[in-house]
Amino acid sequence: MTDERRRAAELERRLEAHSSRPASLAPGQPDDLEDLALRLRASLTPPPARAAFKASARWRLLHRLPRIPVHAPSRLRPAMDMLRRLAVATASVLLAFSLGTAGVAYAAQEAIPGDTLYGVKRGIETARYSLTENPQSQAALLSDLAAERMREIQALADDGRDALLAPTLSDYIQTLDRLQSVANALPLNLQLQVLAQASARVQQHQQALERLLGQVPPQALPAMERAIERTSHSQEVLQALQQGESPSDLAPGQDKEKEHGPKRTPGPPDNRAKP
Amino acid sequence: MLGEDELIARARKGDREAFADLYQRYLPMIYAYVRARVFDDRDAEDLTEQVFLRAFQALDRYRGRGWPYSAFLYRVARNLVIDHFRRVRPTLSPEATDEQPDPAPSADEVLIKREDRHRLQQALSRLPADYQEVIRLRLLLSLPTATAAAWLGRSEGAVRVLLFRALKAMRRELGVEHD
Repeated sequence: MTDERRRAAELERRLEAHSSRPASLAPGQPDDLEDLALRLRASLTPPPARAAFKASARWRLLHRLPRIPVHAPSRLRPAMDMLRRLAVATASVLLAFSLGTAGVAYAAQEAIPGDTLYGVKRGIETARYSLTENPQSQAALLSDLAAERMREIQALADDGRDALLAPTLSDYIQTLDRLQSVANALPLNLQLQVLAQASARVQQHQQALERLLGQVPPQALPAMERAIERTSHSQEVLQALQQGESPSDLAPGQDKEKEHGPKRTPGPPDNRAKP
Repeated sequence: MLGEDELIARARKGDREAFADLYQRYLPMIYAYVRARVFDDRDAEDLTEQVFLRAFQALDRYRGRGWPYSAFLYRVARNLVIDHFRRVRPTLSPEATDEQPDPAPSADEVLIKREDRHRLQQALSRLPADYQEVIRLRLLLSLPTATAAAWLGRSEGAVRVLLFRALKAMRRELGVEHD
C-alpha cells in the first residue's frame, strides 16, 4: 500500500470514529485534515428538506408523472436489432460482391464502429466532405454526419459494445466542433440559418444522450457528459447569436466541470458553487 | 418492503405507485445533494422533482449493470444542476445556508460562523470538480465510501485517496500549508 493510500485509509478510519462526535470546532484555521473534514461537515451540511415539501412530495410527483405508461423494453429488441443489422450487413456484402465498389459503399452505410465496413463508411464520408466546397453545404453535411454519429452511439449502447462508445462520442463532439467552425466562417445571417437548422437536431441528440446515461457503463459516463455539455454549448451559441450577441466568449467547455482543470477565478458571488 | 429491482420492474410496467415508492426512498439523499449545490430550498425541491420525472421517462432505457439506482439518480441530478446553473447565475449568500442555528447563539457567534461558512464555501468552489464532488458526497451528505464510489464510478480505494487529496487541496485553498 502506498503512503498516500495508507494515510487516506487512516483518515477514513478516524472520520468514521468521529462520525458521532458533535462538531464543535471553533472557527479559524483548520490545521489538520480530520479537523477540516469535520468542520466542512458541520458548516456546509445541507439542511433537510422542508416538512411541507416532504409531506406533499409523493402526491405532487404522482400528479406530474406522465399519464402514458412506460413500456417495458422488449427482451427481443436487442437481439432483433442485431439480427437486422447482421442481415443488412450480410445482404449488403453479397450485393457488394456482385456490384463492386458501389455495392461496398452501400453496404458500408449501415456499418457502426467495430464493423468490418466501418472504415469504408468513414472514408466515403471524408471523400464527400472534401468534394463539398460550399460552406453552407459543408455545414449541412456535417449536421448529417453528427446525426449519423449519434445513431452509431445509440446502436453501440443497444448492443452493449461499450468500449467503442467513448471514441464514437469523441467523434461526435469533433463533428459538432467542425460544424461550429464552418458556421463561424459564414456571414451572420447564414450562420444563424445554419445553426438554427442544426439546433433542433442537436437538441434531440442531447435528449438522446441524457436517456442513454442510464444505459452505459460508468467508464463511458465522462465521455457522455462531455458530449451532453457540447450539445448544450451549441444551443447557447445559437441563443447568443439570435439575441444579437457575440458567441465568441462562449468557448466550448466553458461551463464544463473540469476534472483537475485550471482553477476558477475566486471571488464572490459568481464563482461560488459554479458547476 | 419491495426491493429496488422489483420496484423498478413494476414502475417499468407503468406502476406509478412503485415509482413513487422509489421516489420516497431516494428523495432524502438526492434532495441533500441538490440542496448542497443550489443553496435554495425551492430550487432544490423543483430540481429534485425534475430528477425523478426524468428518471421515470428514462425507465425503459435504464440498465442497472450492477450499480445502484441511486447512482443513476445522482447522474441525472448532477446534470440537472449543471443545466440549472447554465440558466441561472449561481448566487450564494452565507445567509442562504444559515439554517442550522445553535441554540441561542450570540450575534457575534452567528457572524463568525457565517463568515467561516462563507470562507469554506468559497474555498470549496475553487477546487476541481471531482474534489468538490467527493467532499459533498462523503462529508456533506455523509454517504458511505461504497455508495460514494458507486455514484462516482470509482473504486472505494480511489474515493478514499480522492477525499484525502481533496482535503489537502482545500487546506491549501484556505491558506494552510502542511507537508
